[in-house]
Amino acid sequence: MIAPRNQRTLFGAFFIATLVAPSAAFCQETSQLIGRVVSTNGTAIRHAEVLVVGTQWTTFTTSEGTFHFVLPAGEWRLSARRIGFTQRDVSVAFQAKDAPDTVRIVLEVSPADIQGITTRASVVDLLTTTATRDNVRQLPALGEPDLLRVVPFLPEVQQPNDMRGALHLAGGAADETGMFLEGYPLQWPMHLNGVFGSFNVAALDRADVRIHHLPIERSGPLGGAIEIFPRKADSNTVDAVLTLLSGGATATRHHLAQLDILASGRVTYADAIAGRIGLGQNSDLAIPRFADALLRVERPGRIDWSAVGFLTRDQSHRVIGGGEPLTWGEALFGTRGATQVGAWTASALVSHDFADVRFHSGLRPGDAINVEQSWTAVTASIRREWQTAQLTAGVNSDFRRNRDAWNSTEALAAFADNIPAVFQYDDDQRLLAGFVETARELGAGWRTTFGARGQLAGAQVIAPRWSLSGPIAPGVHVDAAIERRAQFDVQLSSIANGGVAQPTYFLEYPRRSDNVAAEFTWRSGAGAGRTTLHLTPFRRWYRDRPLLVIDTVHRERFPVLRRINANSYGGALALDYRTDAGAVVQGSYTYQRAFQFIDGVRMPADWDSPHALTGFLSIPVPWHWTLNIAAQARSGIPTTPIAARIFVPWGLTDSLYEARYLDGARNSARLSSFNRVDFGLSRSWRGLGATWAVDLQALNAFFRENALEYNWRLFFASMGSSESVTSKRGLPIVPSLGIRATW
Amino acid sequence: MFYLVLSRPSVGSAPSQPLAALLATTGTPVKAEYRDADSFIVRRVRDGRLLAWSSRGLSGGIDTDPRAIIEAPGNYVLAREDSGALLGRAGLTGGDVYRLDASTKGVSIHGEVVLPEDPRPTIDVSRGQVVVRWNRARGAAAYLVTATTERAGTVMTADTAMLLRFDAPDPNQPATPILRIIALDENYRRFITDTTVRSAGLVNALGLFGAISVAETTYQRPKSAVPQRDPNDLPWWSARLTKLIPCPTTNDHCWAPAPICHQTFRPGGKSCNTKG
Repeated sequence: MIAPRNQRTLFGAFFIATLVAPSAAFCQETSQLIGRVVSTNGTAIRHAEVLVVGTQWTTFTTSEGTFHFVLPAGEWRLSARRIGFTQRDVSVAFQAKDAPDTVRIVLEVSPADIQGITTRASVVDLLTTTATRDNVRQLPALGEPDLLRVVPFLPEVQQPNDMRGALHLAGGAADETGMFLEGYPLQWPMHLNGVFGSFNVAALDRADVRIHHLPIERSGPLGGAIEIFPRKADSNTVDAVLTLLSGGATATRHHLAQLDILASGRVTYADAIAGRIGLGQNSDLAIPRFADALLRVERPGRIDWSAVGFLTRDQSHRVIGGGEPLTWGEALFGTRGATQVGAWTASALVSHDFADVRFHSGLRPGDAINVEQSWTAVTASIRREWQTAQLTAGVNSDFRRNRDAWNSTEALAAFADNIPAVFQYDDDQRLLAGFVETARELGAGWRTTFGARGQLAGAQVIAPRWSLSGPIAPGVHVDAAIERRAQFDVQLSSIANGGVAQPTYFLEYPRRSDNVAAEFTWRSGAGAGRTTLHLTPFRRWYRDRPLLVIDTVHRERFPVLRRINANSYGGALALDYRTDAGAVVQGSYTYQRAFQFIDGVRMPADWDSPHALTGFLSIPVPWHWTLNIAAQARSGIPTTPIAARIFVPWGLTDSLYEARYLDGARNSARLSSFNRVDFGLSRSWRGLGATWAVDLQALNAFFRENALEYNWRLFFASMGSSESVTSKRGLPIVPSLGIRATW
Repeated sequence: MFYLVLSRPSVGSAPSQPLAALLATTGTPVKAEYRDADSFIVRRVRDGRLLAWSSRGLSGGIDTDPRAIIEAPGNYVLAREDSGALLGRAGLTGGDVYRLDASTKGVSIHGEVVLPEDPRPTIDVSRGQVVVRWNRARGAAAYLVTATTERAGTVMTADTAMLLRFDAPDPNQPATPILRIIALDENYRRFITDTTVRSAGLVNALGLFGAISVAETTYQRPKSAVPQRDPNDLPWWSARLTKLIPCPTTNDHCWAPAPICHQTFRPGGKSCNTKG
């Protein structure tokens, strides 16, 4: 066993070794290489990644599709890639001279890459799955395409039911899944009580789902991160979408006063339609009103600068006593700048996010909910590249302030039904972190990274990390990562059915996880007609995960957090098959277990679902239509059964009682399995100077009533009566229609 | 499981009723059966006098068609009046400790409870404000206070005074306001306030060995009551306890069953589908 002091020495030695080892390439004579990446029709491809194979040198193309490197004289191999295009490698050889050499790389459009519901054709980073705007539009939609409805189709991702926005990544808790918009942290960007994400798909470029490997800039979250990227304004377009749920428009303007501008807005009218068919204000099924907007401005240049504004707002219809209805939402402003000087790149970003939940009853003064949570984040980093090594270092700081106050039983409906009706909380947190990571090419396609984060927010955490990737056989590639994560907050509860953004509390010392994962990828063929298989085993150890304890007597003692240990493990097998005829088959099977240890007893976590099967099939059908079928099947989630019924005196008599049900062993039973099949028909065509697309969809086509949760108490109470509504059910069959025009 | 809530004879003009105890076996969540005791002894600790319990000879299942309210007459009954050396209900004294020793099918059940003294309420009217006060009853851990003029319904408090706000809607109010104070012993208080408690005041049995003392009086409305601020700290259990408010008459049907909700019962909550 290595003593802690020696561990630190080894850590330092390895870190320094990877740092000082870069080759002496820059001792040689260098010259500039200028290149351009274009599509087969000559259009510049913006934001394509170009890398020098076998080195750490990588760059992205400008809006004109150009890039440049400073390279030592010799022969080099360049690789260019962009989602939606076939990756292309070219060799260049040049001598050192004053005039720059030029190279032109032509990429072929690869429609197969944007079919299906996710893509790994242009992997952004290690162990990352990407869903693009076009991917999302393949999936039969709930009202309209939604990025966050795609994520549950990914391996190792679990969403307990249709009516819950909570996402569990590789056995993590729901509040261990973080969401970021272009690197800026978000808190709860959801509509319709968590059913629907608050991003207009037309305004997005892609979402990267990072489960097993986070960027070094991230301090957490423990489960993983969903990183959403707005669309780049490469050209002048207008995109209008009308669905049964909402209407939205997105416009891009390229080089407008040297700025690239994206503006997008969406508003629902489903609430008005629902009102007309009787699901109005007084109905439990009344649909909240919602709207969202996104604005992105970018100024490319010597210093690349961009700013993002994002706004989402929901409003319930329920008004009590002439007061104000329940409203919730989030507003984000973030800006970043980056510049490159020689082999150095410096970047900085600042963001401020404000989320709130508000309610005011007209029945009595003070009957209100006011939850305000703000999050300011600052990150600055530098990167130095050598031929076969790269060093990234930086600092980040978060300042968060949460003010929760409610004095209303409406809080029980909005958040969770086991909280006090009167509560006040005002706290802030300052988190300071420093990070450093080095990457090194090991030759023969192998690459390793090694780094650590030091974090301070009351308690101090050192989180080391390591990754390795490379080919282990022809056509077989492995990515492996080991990393420690730390998270300094906890949500009140998992997003409950019909709940809104959950209040979040700061932790004096963090919850931590140690994660180990590997992904083996086998590829056969390229483009259409190819098969890809991914096998991803993983294991995680969680320490000090907070568990909310309800003091059933002194409810004013809240929140009482107990720390427990937990673990998760499992593996996923994912298949991606594309035929020459344009058909796409994607599917995955995930086996994963999530356990927690309470009082020394191991028990399934609330979201433990051992088996999950997802499938997606896209087939061209006559008259230029495409038939899309998406299916999910998984084990039911655990539930706590009733062990016995005892009595509680009722009134002042000695012969009347009400029932008190005593819980059995926690999570010792399971709900029935979840199964859903969705169908969609889509067609696109050009006409009237625009590209038109129409989607006809039916979610939960077989109308299977998937249980959301089971009310055992109601079950026993209703035995013998004619009415027996004992479980809450998920989605009914949901047909929808959408029309999209782009010009 | 065992249930016995000791109390002295009813207040007011209602005739003294026998007091019953329930000894039963709980099986599955929907079944319970009466159970016989091999011995059933309750004694007053101060002087060792035994209470006059007798068996009703009940047997079989209890309430096999489970609904929200379970009717389960006790299978052991305490005589109304003293009988020789044995104490009847009328002989119970406030502030005393009572001890239970029973055995049934090889299981020995023990318990202990303090019967609270009777609270003695007084009404103070000062500058238009009406305050009800009562003595700190020995053995009482908390008080349930019900005043028919109050919108808050029944309020649990450990205090010995309460400001009356006269804010209940008029249709609910009897012509002469009624005030009821119930002193609860610690076992009873804990059992009804903590929904996870399985047993209070008992060893080797589920259920409750508790005690209450009840005082009731009437009072007058002031000619001009000063409006008070609405209670903004309504405790979570207050709505649950409103069912303890009796109707003006002694008709059993006036005891309204609690609503059955698809989710946990929310005091004053929304979207609660009611049955029964």
